[in-house]
Amino acid sequence: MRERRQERRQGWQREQRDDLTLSEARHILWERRWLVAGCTILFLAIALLYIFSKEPVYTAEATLSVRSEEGIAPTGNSNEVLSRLRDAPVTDRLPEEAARRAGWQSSQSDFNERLYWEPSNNEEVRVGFSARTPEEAARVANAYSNVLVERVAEFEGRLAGGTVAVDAEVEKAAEPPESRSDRRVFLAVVAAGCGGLLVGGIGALFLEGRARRWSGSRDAELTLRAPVLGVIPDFSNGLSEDGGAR
Amino acid sequence: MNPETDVANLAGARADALMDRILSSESEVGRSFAELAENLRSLGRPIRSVVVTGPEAGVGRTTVCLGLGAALAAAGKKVTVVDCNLDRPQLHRPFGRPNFTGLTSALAGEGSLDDYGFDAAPNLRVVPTGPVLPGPWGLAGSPKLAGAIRTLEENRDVVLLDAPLAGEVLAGRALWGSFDGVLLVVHATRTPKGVARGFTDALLDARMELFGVVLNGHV
Repeated sequence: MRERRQERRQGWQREQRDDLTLSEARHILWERRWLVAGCTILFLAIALLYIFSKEPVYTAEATLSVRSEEGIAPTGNSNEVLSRLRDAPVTDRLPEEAARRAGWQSSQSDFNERLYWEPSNNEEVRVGFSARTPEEAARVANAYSNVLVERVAEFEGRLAGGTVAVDAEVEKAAEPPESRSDRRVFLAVVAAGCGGLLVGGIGALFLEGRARRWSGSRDAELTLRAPVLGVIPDFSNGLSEDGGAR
Repeated sequence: MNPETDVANLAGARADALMDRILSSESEVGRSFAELAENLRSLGRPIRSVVVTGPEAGVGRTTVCLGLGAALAAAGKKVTVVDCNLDRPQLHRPFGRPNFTGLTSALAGEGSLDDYGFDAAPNLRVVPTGPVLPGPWGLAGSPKLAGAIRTLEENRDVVLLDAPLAGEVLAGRALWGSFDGVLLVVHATRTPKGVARGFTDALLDARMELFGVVLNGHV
């Protein structure tokens, strides 16, 4: 008899029941949509509070043209040139000079953290600075670029060991950026949204497992993954009052 | 005036009213049971014995047994409902009947289970537990019960077993799994979803033939 039953077991009886199916998850999330939405809104609100409590960040970039003299340095390898430039006497105490010239009020370490320079292509270097205002960002980036160019000219292009000669000039001065460049704002909003959905979803799953209210046959079928053969309406004052219900 | 007689009469009157609602094809409840009976019949296989169980007490197993039995009886089937809850007999109560004879009497004596029941409606016979002795599971778990139900099936179209809770059904699956299939009753405002899902999975894992679910007490 068991074997015959096994043969006639229907699809829903045979299916893997451990995993949460997409339709189940969708059903649970929809049933608990206010919880999920509430968690998401709460997380977004916290993220926005965090963002607005932090100072805004604007980043301005200047572009320098850095060319090595032919035959002395590997032509076109700006990474190599940049690396040597960093170690050369040309850049000695350069940030301090740039900070002083730009009228930087905060600490030098803070200045250094906000500054970056990196090659953008074979012969160009981008000098960027992040500040609280667009004007300050552009002012400092330009100050640093100008000091660097002056230093290179002062040392007549001779870098570490005097083996490499470079020529540097400001290709494009930094301009005040029009919008905030803080990528953390975007990341915080995305993370908060995802976090809210995740926490709300987990909460929905947890609460749904403990819930005692069934909204109907569709709810029962999705929850139990079994067919609902009948839905009997509540008829209170029934058997339970005289002890007959079970 | 005898107060005990009054209480008995009142209980009887309420039971009659309740049975009227369950049995009436005009009432919403009666139509719901008729739909359940139709769905059960349309499963496409001969169904002679159905184990009606639930994840928890109070989900309405007895009500579903009586309502389904009444609906099947109204459709012309000869139905017997057997109370198998030897630890907490209930089936006799809605009818205001004493529990003097029933399942235990049949298992201890001779004759068909039907002989120890009473007619609740045309084509619908009800067999209470009968007197409950200490250590009831030694009796109910015996092969005698399965044999008695098999004998009953020969004379009746459908036998509905008002079975113990699903946990006990799973524990005694050698007995309860020998019948045609299981109906799991869940209550729409009392049964925790996680618990109901757990028992549904467990019944299927135990290779028991789960016909489906009845959602009782829907508001």
